[in-house]
Amino acid sequence: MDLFSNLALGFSVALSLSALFYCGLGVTLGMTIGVLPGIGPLATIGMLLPLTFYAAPTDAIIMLAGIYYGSMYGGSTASILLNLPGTAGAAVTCIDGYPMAQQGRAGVALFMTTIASFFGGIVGITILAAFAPALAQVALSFGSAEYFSLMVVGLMAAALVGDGSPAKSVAMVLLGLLLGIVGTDVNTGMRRFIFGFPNLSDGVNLVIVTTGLFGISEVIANAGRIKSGSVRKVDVSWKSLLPTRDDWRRSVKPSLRGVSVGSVLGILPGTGAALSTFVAYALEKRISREPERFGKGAIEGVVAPEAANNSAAQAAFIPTLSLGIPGDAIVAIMLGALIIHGIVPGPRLVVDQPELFWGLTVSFLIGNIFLLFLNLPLIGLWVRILSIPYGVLYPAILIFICIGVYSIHNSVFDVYLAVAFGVVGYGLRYLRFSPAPLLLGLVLGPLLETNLRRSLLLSRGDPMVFLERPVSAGILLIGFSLLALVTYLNLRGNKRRKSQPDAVSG
Amino acid sequence: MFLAGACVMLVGAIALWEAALYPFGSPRMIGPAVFPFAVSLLLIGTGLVILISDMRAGQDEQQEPEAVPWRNLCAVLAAIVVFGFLLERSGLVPAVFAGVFIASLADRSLRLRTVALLAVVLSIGCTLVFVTFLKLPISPFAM
Repeated sequence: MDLFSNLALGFSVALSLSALFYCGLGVTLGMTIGVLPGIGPLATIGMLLPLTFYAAPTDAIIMLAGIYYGSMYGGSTASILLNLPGTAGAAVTCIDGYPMAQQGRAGVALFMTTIASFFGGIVGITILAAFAPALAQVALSFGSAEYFSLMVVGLMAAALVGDGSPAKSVAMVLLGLLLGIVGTDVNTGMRRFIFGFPNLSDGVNLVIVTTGLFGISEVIANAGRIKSGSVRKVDVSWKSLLPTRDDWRRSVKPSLRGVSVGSVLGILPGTGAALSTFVAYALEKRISREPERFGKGAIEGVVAPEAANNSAAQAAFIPTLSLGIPGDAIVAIMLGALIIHGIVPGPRLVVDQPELFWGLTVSFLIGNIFLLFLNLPLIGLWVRILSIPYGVLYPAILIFICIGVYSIHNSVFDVYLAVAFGVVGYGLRYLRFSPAPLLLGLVLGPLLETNLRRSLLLSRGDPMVFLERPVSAGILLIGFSLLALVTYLNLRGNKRRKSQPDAVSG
Repeated sequence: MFLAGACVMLVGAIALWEAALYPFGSPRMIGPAVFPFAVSLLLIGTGLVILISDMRAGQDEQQEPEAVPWRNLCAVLAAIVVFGFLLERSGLVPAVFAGVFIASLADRSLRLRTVALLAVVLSIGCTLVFVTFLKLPISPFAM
């Protein structure tokens, strides 16, 4: 199997009429919800997942993925024009993007973020095409013990490296695992954690959890509070968009560094696009010769994070498609969508379903080209979309969520369950938990338990199997080193924070 | 704030209690209790860590918790529950109208005319997409 025949296969899938349609639909939707603050890609993908049951699996994933990376392009628009991030991955872009807009350079900022996003996306896709099949080849020899260890470490990485308190993220992963247990146990037929509700015997659907925890709780937190629709008049003529020679010169190296940061963090399981933007921005500020320019409209601070989040969004598909371990929460939902469509994620996916893997990879390329053309000539349109008030959007979001959730089993019980998760989601937000790692636990939970059982069965009940097999032991060693490192850094951070006030007073 | 850690521990304890009722099996053929039991124990442990680190962080580092938007919470809850209640009993269009009107109570700046227009547009759109196109077993108006 050489690269060219694979790519040819990919193009034949991705250039089919239906794939082009779903790709275009996905990236346009992604761009739209990316531009609009108050609705993120997680909620949108959760909302539209039931609709993709009607499409072929490849088309479904092409569309859902398009929403994801499309939202990465759109997210920066609101950051630059309103100082209000359209998505979590664009929060950093506010720091220098909004000052640029205040200086009358909004057009340049929008232009350069599009170019940086496109560049990041293309590099991410190249890495995906180069590494995912190789990684899958290695993983083909993995047994259930290796899989168990890999999932444990993936979940640990998701919890420990993310933003916010690591302990709280670990709690979210564990809660996700518990939710994954709800329903009928495949091995024994026993119904677990259904607490007397027969509707729960099929388990808690991923769509219900996602739309509840993210969609509904976002509306609870934001309704009546987001005052969009107050965009000042922005000059979006071609002349105002074009960057100066100096802008280009300043942007080249930051884009390269941003892409590197994004690709590495994207490949690591559990560390998604949002985190990569923070790291990329911090890196630029640290190595800059004029760090005082940052926060006052430095183009480096806009370009680097945007290149980073787009390459991370593409690279996140590497562990997902080659190992079956999602790179972040959004990709976890897509993994769930694959499972719903009857496709078992794992290293066999690249081998057994080359048309899915290569079709998807090529569709990313096409999607990124779509986005380039959606963005540059149409910047004025996206700026106008920003003026849709949130008050008109959120009732529509709620109605779509309700119908989407209802359509899974044609059951009103599910709608009530979603609203319960909405309240839980708001509660978690209130207590400063970030619920994204929960989705990883929910998707991986059943696979984790199955592989645990299978390993113990094969080893005749000897739990040392996870340490005796070298690959499994190596993976676990990496995971626990990470745990030790994060614990050490946290303890040291606490001590430093404690000792500082003393130093000042003494 | 002891609430975060305490909530986590409480959920862990309930799950542990429930898991302990299932068969544990043998080391070789582990029963349905083992995995949830282990996860629950870890969850209780994590809750304890959160509780302790929140206590050690002390009062000065605590950020003020944001004010709970009770109005939003009630409006959104009521909108979805009423939507669910009406969907099969009276049909999609009445459910959409009720849902949109109740949900709109969360944002005081919304004018009645805007909300009414939104409800009409959404009713038509949803009927076309979900009933005509996707053929969900719901009717626009049920009797």
